[in-house]
Amino acid sequence: MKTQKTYSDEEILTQIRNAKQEVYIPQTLENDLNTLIDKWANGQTARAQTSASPSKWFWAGGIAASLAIIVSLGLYFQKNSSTQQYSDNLNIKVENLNVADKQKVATAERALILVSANYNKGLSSLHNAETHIKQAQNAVNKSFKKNKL
Amino acid sequence: MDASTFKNVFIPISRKLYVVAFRLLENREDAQDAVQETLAKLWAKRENLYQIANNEKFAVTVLRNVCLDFMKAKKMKFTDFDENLINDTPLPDTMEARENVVIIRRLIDDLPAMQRKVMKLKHWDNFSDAEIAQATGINAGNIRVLLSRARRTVKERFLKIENKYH
Repeated sequence: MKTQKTYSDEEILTQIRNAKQEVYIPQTLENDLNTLIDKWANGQTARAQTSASPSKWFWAGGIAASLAIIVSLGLYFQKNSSTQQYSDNLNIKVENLNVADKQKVATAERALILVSANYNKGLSSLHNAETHIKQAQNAVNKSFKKNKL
Repeated sequence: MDASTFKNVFIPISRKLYVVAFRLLENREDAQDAVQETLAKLWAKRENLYQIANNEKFAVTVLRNVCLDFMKAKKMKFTDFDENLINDTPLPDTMEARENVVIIRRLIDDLPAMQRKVMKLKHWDNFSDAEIAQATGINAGNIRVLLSRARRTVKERFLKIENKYH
């Protein structure tokens, strides 16, 4: 009949100790730390020289940059659709206008061209262009009302 | 504390710090980074280190917190007492695999994380319960519980394997 093997707790503990895996300590550990301390003492920033993964700030910077691009694109397309509205409003029967009104339409169109040309110069430039467009649009609308179109 | 004194105090204990970091993080690169980060933090506080009674203990405490940050970054658990076995080590079916050392190591590696780390610090690195408490932040009573569970699990599974082949 097969007998069950048993071990005392002490025997198991011996087995555990015998199975020890030594921690391999890098031979250059102390030298590397000496070098680091010297750098800190000479005024360099006391940050660990990471040998493996990028720091959390690397990822935070990447995410911030991505968000900035997404927000910029969103504003770009939003502004583009706004200028498109002005363009649509001005898309009327130009051939029925008198010379003065045609000039005003041309002014408005130039304003639109200015908008698209100046967009990349920043939102403040865009704001100014929008003001001009509004002024042009108001002038054109007044003329249309006069000519009953 | 000037650079020379700082080195005299902390370089000699850096090997111990590395062992603790390695047992907690189970990764060589992370352990090295953790030790460097710990010394960086200690360097930043060097003007106040004269007030510290036991610099080694303080260094281990700082290291522990650094390791916690590493573990959080990797979403590793640190204070789990009741987790199940990570793996259920299959019974070896070859004569070679029955060497006790190999079996015991596999059984220890399959323990829940904290049991595994505490067992290695205790029985492989000969840390006292107080030192393990310092390194892990777990109180001495819970360390004894972890060790007891770990030894019981290893014993039960080891006997199961032994009796299969005898």
